[in-house]
Amino acid sequence: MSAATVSNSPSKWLVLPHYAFAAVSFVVLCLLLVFSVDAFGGHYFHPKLLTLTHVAALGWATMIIFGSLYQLLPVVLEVRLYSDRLGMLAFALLSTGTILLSVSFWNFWVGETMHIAACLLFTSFLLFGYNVVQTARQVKKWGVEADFIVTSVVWLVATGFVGLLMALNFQYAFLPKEHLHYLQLHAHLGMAGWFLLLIVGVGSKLIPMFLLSHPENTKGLHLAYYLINGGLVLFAADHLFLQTGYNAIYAALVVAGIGGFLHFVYQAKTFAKRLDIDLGMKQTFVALALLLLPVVLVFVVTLQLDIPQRLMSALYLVYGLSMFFGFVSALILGQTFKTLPFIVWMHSYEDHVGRFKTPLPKDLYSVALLRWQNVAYLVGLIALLAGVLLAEQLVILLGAVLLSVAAVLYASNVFKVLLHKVKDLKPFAYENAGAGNHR
Amino acid sequence: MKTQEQEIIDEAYEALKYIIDPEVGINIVDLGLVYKVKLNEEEEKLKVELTLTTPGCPMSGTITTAARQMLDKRFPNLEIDIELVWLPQWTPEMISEEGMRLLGNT
Repeated sequence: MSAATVSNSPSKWLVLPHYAFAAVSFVVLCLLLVFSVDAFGGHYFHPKLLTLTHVAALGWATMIIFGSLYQLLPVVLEVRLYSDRLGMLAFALLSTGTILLSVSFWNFWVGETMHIAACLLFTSFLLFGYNVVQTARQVKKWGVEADFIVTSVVWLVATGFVGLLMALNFQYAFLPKEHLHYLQLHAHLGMAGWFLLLIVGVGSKLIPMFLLSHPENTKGLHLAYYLINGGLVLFAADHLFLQTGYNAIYAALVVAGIGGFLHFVYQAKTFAKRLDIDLGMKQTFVALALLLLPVVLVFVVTLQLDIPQRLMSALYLVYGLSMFFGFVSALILGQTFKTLPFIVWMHSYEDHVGRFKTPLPKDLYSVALLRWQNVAYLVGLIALLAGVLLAEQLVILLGAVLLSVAAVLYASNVFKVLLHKVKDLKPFAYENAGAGNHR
Repeated sequence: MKTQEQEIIDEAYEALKYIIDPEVGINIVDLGLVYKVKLNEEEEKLKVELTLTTPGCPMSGTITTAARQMLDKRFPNLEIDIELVWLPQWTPEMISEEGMRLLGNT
């Protein structure tokens, strides 16, 4: 039998600040949403909407993905993280860059502050990318998950690079095409290249693990990898050089790839030995269901259907919202309580397990708060999307308020876990460990 | 009638049941993570081979230390040797009937 190695976990001081920053960002994001109701009446190129998008994409989603990935990379790739220090530096740059960029967009300062923010963010992506690639280089058993993760980081750097060019272009206007042209590229590289690929890569490892399932057939995942990347490369090349307008075909490739992933998840669910699915996993399945919304809408916005301009603008907004406030946020809201309590538990109790009765990770957060968080989130999301579609500001406001409630409940629960302290542990009464044949 | 060796092995399994997989919430024995418990009476050594649900699991150090501490306390006169192994690879089929019941599969 081959002997195993010791744990590869990174320092908690690398991982946990990401969760704290992301939780605060989500509250800020939802509160900003409350004060941005008027911005949903027109085009998506609006300072408040750009602020919301970047707080969501960077402060909320990318921040928590960075943090959780430092913890999950060693699990998925079975090697140690290359450098904790690089990770901490990337955190400092990402957090500072996000704050500066958000303030810049809100006030529409397109000068130095925005340039500095964009440089900080791009440097942060480069450092993160270098850390991930160097970590992946140590991998002995390369799997499709590693393909997804490494490629997603390449797309993150590409997204950041386009973003940096656009930030400079605001002032110097050196790009050959109009700003919106690059915004579409920037947004889709980020959504499908960074978020989607990463989620598929990590999800394909974690979802079966959490369900105690071993789906043997990974053909769907391999197919998903090539279809999503193929669609993205063709889209980017066409967008930059050809402008043929075949975007719906590229979208179809990406959507087919998503289908391959969902088929894999379906298999994992079918073979699951764990039937009592907790709230975190339930929310994950809600997120996967919500993914269907942008999947449908991507065709609506790319097929150039004969739709009135006002409705088309609203559909564009719903498309973006369904990705960030829908799929990505729903997934994070659920997966946070699958990963964070475990990380805190491990650092708090690793020396006590086997000697004392310890709580379980699920005892570190409030299930009631999580349940209400999920309810407030889902109703809030539906209200927000319906409000935008119907151009009803009161309904948008209702959605924003409910999402803010969900965000506050989420942040309370996150900080309850982060601030957890080990209390009077009772030693095991070993004499009660009676003899008996377990087999 | 059980031999003393078998009694010790059974006791070791029972002691290891105190260690709960924190994610799944059931003990490592019923989860099928303990592959072998062997007593070498001449050397007064108790050897345990156990695995994890996935090789990258961050619990490797915690579970092996916990198993050692648990058995050290339970059998202070025996030398405890814990070995983490990856072969055969753990699969959900290794979960015991009791484990399946605890997971909600009746």
